[in-house]
Amino acid sequence: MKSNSDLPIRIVAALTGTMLLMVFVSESMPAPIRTIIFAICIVGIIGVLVLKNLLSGPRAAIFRKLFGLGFLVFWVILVSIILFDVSFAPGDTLRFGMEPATAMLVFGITLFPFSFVLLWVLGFDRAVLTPEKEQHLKKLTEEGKEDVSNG
Amino acid sequence: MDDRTLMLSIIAAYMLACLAIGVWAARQTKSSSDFFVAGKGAGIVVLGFASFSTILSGFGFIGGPGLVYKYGTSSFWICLPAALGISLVGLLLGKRFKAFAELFDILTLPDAIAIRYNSEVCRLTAGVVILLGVIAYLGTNILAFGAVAATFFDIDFTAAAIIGMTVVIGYAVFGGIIAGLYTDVFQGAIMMFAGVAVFWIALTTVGDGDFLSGPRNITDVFTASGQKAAIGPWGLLGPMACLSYLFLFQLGGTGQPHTITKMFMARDFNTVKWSPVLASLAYLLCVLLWVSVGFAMKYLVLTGGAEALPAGEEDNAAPLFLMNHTPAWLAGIVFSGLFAAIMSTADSFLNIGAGVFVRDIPRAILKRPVKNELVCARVATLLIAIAATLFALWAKKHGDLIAILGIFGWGLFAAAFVPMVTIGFNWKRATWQGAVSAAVTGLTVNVGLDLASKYPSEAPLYVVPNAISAGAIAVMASVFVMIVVSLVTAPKTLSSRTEEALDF
Repeated sequence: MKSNSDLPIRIVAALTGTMLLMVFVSESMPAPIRTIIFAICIVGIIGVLVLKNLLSGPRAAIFRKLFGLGFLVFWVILVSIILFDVSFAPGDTLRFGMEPATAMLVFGITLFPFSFVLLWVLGFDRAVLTPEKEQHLKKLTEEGKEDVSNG
Repeated sequence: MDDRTLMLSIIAAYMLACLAIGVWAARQTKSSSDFFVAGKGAGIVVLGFASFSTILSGFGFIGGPGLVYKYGTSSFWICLPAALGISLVGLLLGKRFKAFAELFDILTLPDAIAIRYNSEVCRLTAGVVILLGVIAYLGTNILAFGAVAATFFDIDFTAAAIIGMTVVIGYAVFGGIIAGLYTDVFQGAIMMFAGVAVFWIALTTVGDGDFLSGPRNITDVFTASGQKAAIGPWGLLGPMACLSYLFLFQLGGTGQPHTITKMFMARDFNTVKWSPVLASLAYLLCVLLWVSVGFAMKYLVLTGGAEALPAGEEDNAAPLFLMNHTPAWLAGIVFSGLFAAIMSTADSFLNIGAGVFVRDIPRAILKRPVKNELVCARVATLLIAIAATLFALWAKKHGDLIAILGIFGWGLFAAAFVPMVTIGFNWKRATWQGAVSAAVTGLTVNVGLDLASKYPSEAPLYVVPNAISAGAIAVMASVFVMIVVSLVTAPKTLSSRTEEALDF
């Protein structure tokens, strides 16, 4: 069963509203704080939408937790970039020939999201579409398609 | 054979191969379902390749490296997040779109939207947004095609634009989306090869023959030249701008009609499961060109190996690197990859544009389908291609207009379809009033902010602080409006089948 509660979408609305505030009226706030809040909102919006899209039964629980953990790590990567950048000074050690924050961007932002793709594939039958649901869809399909000429 | 002739021969061979695929596909296209959704029979490889090659347009091979040259790593926040954006199409929409395609006679995105909201107003709104975006997107792609051919192969701009669109018309009109899908596979393979090959050459060039020394040499030379900010994590645009790109190109990926429509074409749920994986990986290989060439060109400029590009001509970074630093045969293949990126996007736009004309507008306004949909679809595809070409040729004479056209791209689609589709298909409480308000808000904010930041040129009306993307702000505003309006309006009663499809 998928939750039909409005709460996750209300959270998305609150997060987008906060982002708009950060865009237009946050000049008085220190830049790193503003950037961290912006990052929280972005990861929060995408995370809520992805979690809302997963099934909520006990078989899906582990994947819901892993996805949730994944988004937390994703947010930590973004914050690390912000903090590494602030603390970097000329002469500090480079990583893979780049500033640590740039290396985090190149490898973290690029490669970490593939953990979500991996979870999607591994958890498809348990957290996305169970075989029972697929069977149910087949049964409905056999009853015939609906024309859309009247919307 | 001289270098120019060799390159042109390879490009000509590529164009002929696309036409050959079109001839084959035309024989497979027997109904409007074949024409618009490939009979809903596309497999993992076809759908995976088509999804990524459709999304990576000429902008990815030309504009992207140009942005890296101009703004440094800021541009990475556009191309790298889009890999997850492609996966999000599967994660957020895949199974539900497949369920809608199974349960209803759906051939276009507005078809699905009309059913979801039980509203022809929503269908019409979605159709209008698609048409606006299609003409503008096609126009910019034709301009890119003509500009590259004219600048680097000394072919007349008009002749080049007409040749390019003639090839696209040749396969898209007769072969429909089947031709589009299979040319996308061919074009995607060329783009992947181009991405990996140019990445290797670019880093080897700046590494003085050692691939692994490339990044360190870039860091050293940029730091010594006082350009350290360009290689920091945010580039020259700063953190808020970069995060706004992350938002726009990750979540916004789920609002691109030419990509999400592909989910209707999946053969089965196994395809829904695996094609986003393939698409993301393939996309990542292609953007290796994006992230490497701009830095390589800038490195060459800073070390005296190349002349600096004049302001406003940064888009020449990739073509110049190809002409001067890669063997002619490879440059020919990579230029084919560039044209492939443009054409694979163009054929998808022609297809969704034709769908709006033939299927959505008649159903929304006349309340009935047209007769002989397949023939009408072919005629509509031809007319849209001609209109877009004429529009692009006209727009070329108006520099400002080309700049304005740029805003009708990713941001326009994202601002309209992220709320209407990504939110709407994941939240039953969403109403048609919310969806229409969101689309209007997205369009208005996107266009308004962009125009206000450009005009009047001597003292623009309003400039968004911290270089934050107008498209990202438009998405934020439209999602917010969608949710608020939906919460204060009553949803329409949906059929039991629609309820079932939304529950998947």
